[in-house]
Amino acid sequence: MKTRLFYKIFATYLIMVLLVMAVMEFFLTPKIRDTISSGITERMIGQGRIMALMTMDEMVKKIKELAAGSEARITIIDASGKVLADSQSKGQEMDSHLNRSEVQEARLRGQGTAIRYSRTLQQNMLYVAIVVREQDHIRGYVRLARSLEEVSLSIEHLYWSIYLTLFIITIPSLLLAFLFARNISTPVRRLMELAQKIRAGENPPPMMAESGDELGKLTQDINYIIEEQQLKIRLATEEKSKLEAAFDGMVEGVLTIDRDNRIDQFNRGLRKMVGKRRADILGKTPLEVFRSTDLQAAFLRFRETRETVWQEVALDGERPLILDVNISAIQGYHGDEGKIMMVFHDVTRLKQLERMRMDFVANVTHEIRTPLTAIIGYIETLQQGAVQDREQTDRFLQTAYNNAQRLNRLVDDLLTLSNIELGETKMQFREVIVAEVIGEVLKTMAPQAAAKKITLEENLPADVPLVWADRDRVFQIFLNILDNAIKFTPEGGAIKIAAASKNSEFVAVRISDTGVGIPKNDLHRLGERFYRVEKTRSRDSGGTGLGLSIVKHLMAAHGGQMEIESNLGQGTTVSLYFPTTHPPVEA
Amino acid sequence: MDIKRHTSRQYETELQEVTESLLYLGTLIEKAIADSIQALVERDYDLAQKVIAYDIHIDKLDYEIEEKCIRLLALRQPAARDLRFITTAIKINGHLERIGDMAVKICEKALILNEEPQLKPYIDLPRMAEIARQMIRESLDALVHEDVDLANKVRDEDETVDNLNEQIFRELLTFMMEDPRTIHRSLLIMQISKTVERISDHAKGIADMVVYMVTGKSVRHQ
Repeated sequence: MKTRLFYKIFATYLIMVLLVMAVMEFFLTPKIRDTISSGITERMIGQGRIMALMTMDEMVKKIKELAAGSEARITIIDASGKVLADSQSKGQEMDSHLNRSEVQEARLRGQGTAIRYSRTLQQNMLYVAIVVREQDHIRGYVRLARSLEEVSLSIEHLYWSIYLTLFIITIPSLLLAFLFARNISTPVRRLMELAQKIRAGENPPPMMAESGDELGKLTQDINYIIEEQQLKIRLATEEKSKLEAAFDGMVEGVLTIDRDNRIDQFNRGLRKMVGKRRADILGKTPLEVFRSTDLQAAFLRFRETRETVWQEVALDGERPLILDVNISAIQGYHGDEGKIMMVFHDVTRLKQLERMRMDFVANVTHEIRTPLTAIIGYIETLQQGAVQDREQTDRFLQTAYNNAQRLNRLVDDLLTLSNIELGETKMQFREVIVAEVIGEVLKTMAPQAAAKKITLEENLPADVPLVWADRDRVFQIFLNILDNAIKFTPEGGAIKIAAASKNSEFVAVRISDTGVGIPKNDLHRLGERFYRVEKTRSRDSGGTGLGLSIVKHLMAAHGGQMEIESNLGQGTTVSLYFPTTHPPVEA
Repeated sequence: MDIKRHTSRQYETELQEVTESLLYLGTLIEKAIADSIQALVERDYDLAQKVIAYDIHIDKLDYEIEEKCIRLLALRQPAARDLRFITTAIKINGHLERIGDMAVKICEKALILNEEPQLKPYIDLPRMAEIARQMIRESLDALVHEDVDLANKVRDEDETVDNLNEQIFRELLTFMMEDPRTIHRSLLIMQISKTVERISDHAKGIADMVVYMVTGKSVRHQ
C-alpha cells in the first residue's frame, strides 16, 4: 500500500521536472533561436565584407569558389541593380535587384538584411547584402542568401541534445524522488499503524528507529511515549485494583448514589449486609434496597441540608442488623459533584454488648434488692413489736436468714464469676476421671431429685479418657448443670447423663432432661449473666441467675465448650466438651 | 420503572416518586404490623397507643400518593405501560391503606385483651403476622423489580396464612369449650387472627396487581 504522502512527494517531483521542461520550451527556445539566427547573420555579414574587398570582376570570376567557401548562394549586383552573376542561376536572366529591401538598406547604410520568401528557391531565405565601394563610389553589391531551413535544422539538432539531456536527468531524478518519497512515507506509515494500534487499545512492541533524522527521533519519542503510557496505565490499573480490593475488602458496607438517587456503586461488604443479588442493588434507590423509613428519612434530610448525617438504622432481614449509617457528599472528585456516599457500620454486636451491660447492672441491683427488701421488711416488723411473739419471731428470723443466705450465695456467685473472668481463679489442672466426679455430684443431688421423683440415669463407660481439668471446678460445673436440670424438670421426669469421647481431643458429657425446654430465640443468650428465659420462673426456683454463666466461663477456662439444644416442652440437652490434653489457656 | 426512559425527565421523576412513596408507605405499614403484634404479645400498652396514633400519618401519605397518581393521569395522559403502572399504584395504595387500618384494629383489640389475664402464650399468631408482613414486603419488591415470579410466590403464600388462621380457630374453640370464661378473650384473639388473615389477602391483592402491571393480564379471582 502506498500512502498518500508517497504520491504527494512523488507528484511534486514529477511536476517540478515537467515545469523545468515547460520553461525551456516556452522561454528558452525563442532565445536560442534568436541567438543562432543572429550568429548566422553576423557570419554572413562578415563573409560579405571580406568579399566586398575584391573587385567586381574578380568576384564574378570566382563566384563558384566563394559560394562553396561560404555555404551560401551569392549574387553579385552592380550599382544599377543589374545582376552580374549568381552562384545558383544565370545572372543575366534575372531582373533588377535594386529595389530589394536588403539592397536598399545596403545602399544607405553599407549593409542590409532581410528574411523573405524566395520564389526562385521556394523557401524562406535570409538575405544579407553588402555594398562594394571603390574610392567612395558604389560599384555594386554582393548579396549572400541562405536558406532558413538550415537554421531550423541546426536549432533542432541543438534541441535534440537538450531534450536528451533533460530526459537523462529526469529518469534518475524520478527514481530518486520515488526512493525519497518511499523513505519518508514508509516510516510515517508504520508510525501511523502503530498509533492506530494504540488507539485500538492494543499493546504494540516498540518500533525500531531506522535513521537518525527527525523521523528517527519522532519514532524514538513515540516509543518513549508508548512506554510511558503503558507504565502509567499499568500503575493506574494496579492502583485501581488495589483500591477496589480495599473497597471490597472493607467490613463496612459502602455505596454511592448518583444524581438520580440511584445506587451506582457498592462493595461486597454492603452486599453481605443486605443479602441481595447484585442486580437487585445496582440502579435501585436506597429505599428500594433497604426498605427502611429511618434510612430514607436520613437520606432526605441529607439531600436537603447537604450536611453529613449519622443515623442508626435497624434492618430486619433473616438476620436482624443494627447499622450505623453515615451519609455524606463525595468531594474532591471531578465530575462527581452531587454524588452521595453512604457508609454502613455493623454495630449489631456492639449494641448487644451494650444491652447486656445495661441488663447486668439492672439485674444485679434487682437481684440484690429483692432479698434485702425481705430482710428489711421482716426486721422492721420485729422492731414494731412482733419480737414479742416467740413463734412469729422464729419464723421471721428464719425468712430473714434465708434471704440473707440467698444474698450471700449471690455475692459468692458474682465473685466466682468475676474471678474467672478476670483470670484470678487459680485452676489446679490435673488428670480427672469424669465419671468419678459425676458420681459424687449425683450423690449430692440425689435427695433433691428424689424429692421431685426424678429418675437419674447414668451411662458412663469405663473407657472414657481422662480429662485435663480442675477437679473442684468440674464438680461445680456438673453441680450447676444438674441443679438446673432438676429445677426445670417437672415431677416424675428423668435426667440422663452420658459420657463419650468425641474425638481424640475432647470428652463429651451430655446431660439431657425432660424439662420445660427453652425457646429457640433464648438459646444464644443463656450464658449471659442473670438472663432468664421467663422472668419469673427461675427466681422462684431459688437460683441466682448466674449458674449457667459460671459454667460457660469455667468451660472456657478449661479450654472446653458448652452447647445447649432444646425443644420447647420436651426437654433440654446440655453438651459439655472437656479437653483430654493440656488446655490452651492456663488460667 | 427503569426499563424504558421517557423523553421528559420530569415525567420520569414523577413516576419514580410514586414508586418511592408506595415503598415508603409499605415500609411504614410493615412496621405498624410488627409493632401491633409486638404490643399484643408483650402486652405493651404504650406501643399499641403509638401504632394507633401513627395511623394519621399513614392516611396522609395514602392521600398524597392518590393525589400524585391522579395528577399524573390528568396532566400526562399516560398510555399502555405507564397507565397500567399508575392504575396499579392507585390500587396498591388502597390495599396498603386498608392494611394500615387493620394494624390499628389489632392494637385496639390488644388493648382490650390487656385488661384481662393472658389466655395462652401466642405462638402461631406472631408467625402468621410475620408471614403477612413478609408478603407485603415481597409484593412491593416484586413491584420494584417487576418480578412476576416473586409476585406469584406471594400469591401462593396466602394459603399458609389461611391454614394458620384455621389452626388458631380450632385451638381457641377447645379453650372456649373447656371454660366459658375464656370466650371473650378467645373471640378477640380470633378476630385478631382473622384480621391478620385479611392483611395477607391484601398483600395477595398487591401481588395480583403487580402481575397485571407487568404482564397486562388480570389474575384476580383465580
